Amino acid sequence: MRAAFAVCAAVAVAFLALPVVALFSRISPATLLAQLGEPAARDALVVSLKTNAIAQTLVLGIGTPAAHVLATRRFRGRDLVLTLVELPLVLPPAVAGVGLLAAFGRMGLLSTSVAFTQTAVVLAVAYVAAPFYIRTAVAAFEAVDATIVDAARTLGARPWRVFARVALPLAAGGLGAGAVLAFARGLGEFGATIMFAGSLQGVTQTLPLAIYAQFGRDFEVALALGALLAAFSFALLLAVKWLRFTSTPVFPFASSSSA
Amino acid sequence: MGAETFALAGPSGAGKSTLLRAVAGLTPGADVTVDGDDWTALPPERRSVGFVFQDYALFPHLTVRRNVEFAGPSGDLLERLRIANLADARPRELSGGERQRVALARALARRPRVLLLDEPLAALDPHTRDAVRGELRATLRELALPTIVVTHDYLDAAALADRVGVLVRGELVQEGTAEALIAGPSSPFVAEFAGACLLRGHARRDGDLTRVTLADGTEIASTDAATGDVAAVVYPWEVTLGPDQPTDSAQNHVVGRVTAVVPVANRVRVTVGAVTAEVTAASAARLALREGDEAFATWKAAGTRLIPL
Repeated sequence: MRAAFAVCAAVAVAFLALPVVALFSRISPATLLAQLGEPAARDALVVSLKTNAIAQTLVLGIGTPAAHVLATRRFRGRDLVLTLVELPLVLPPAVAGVGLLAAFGRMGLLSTSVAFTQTAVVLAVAYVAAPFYIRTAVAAFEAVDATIVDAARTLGARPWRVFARVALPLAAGGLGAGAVLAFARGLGEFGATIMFAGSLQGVTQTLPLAIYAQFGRDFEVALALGALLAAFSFALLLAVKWLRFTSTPVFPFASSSSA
Repeated sequence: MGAETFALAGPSGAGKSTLLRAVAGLTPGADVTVDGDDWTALPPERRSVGFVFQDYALFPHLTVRRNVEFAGPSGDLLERLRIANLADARPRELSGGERQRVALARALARRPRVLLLDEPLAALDPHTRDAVRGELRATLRELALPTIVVTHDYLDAAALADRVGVLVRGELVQEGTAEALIAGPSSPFVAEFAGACLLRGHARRDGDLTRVTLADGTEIASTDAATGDVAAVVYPWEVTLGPDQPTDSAQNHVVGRVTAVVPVANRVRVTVGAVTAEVTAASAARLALREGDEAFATWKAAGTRLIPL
């Protein structure tokens, strides 16, 4: 039985690793780096980094207080709100794209003119990435010992100071892991972006969109961009594992208080 | 309230911790007045309390010094509580007793008007507990701050506090010095909580004495006046043990089989029928009583409290 299980493990790992290995083995590292100098590749890199940086800032800046509220307050319909927040995780990207158009498009609910602009890329990335962050952040804040928060209040700390000096540092490991996951998801975002923002080189064409645009035209550029994204995602996932491993340990004497 | 230590003692679920949290403002909605100041509408951070939590609730990510200084300048608190040498350590590196001193120093750095201690000894192992109880008692005396200690252990209450209040299901059933509660428990519950054995029976007057007939026909005497159904209060430390029937008529005795022999620190608790005696380890060794042996438990008729039921 052990041999059969080991074979299954080997097959699974090989199947999952093969496409990544192929990305790097089709052309030499030198050619790979040279292809990244192509204008289409460079534009895509700039668009991706810029839109993701803005989207991540929004996700962290608004998502952190939001997650804290969702983690510490008990209110009616909390489960419903949490489900709504998590929905983009499982929503097909095409549905997300149509939804964003229906909300922010010229004929949409809010009838704005952001569709097919760089702002639309930022919105699409934030929309798909935010749930990854918020969900992890809610869990991280929920894991902070309520008694320690109570202690901070009795020691004279106003709610803002309790948040900044106690809740935030104690949840830091989980928040960091959530931020990395969200960033990885945002960087790879494709479906919602192409529908809501289009694929205009230098404006809305992110790395994944450039891969799609290039693979019919210049397969080597597509390969190079693919290798870049794969290497980046690998590093991010490794970072998440490292953050989880070093995040706040479990404390002894953290028993429940007496009645 | 004066600068005394008040222990709120009672069984689990009596509402002790809830009361403490209400004073601190952590459980909202309770009317709280301290020395004429109405705290009812104040949030926890604006109430001047030093709260020491049962598990101490130290900030795990801060050093001992930063834990203490979270509340205010540490001044000489680290020295006074003998944690100056631990100033740069993290809470997880400390022993239970050290954690407790850090928690106390942190609460005091707040310069509180009232000190609230929630089961301050419950998180410690029995060995450390005895030493820490003595230290804490000395520290509380020295601080001379109004203090409320919550505990489910009458011994802790008696050791730490000037006065003890017994709380049962949210109600203060009796209040006084620990000695007064032991000498005159107002209810069988208080007596039992203070460590007494209760013998239920029927009382009738006989001259200056009251004679109580227990369920098994044994008759005991008391100098308390009572008639009807009563509970006789017998404290283990007032009971002596022997293999033979005592001859002194001023003594009460019951005879029975030894059902338990339990060593507690340097003493031994021996249960004979319905009565538990606490004797020195030396005298327990001399008697060589074992479970199943027949023994006489003896105590004075004078000072045997009777509580009408």
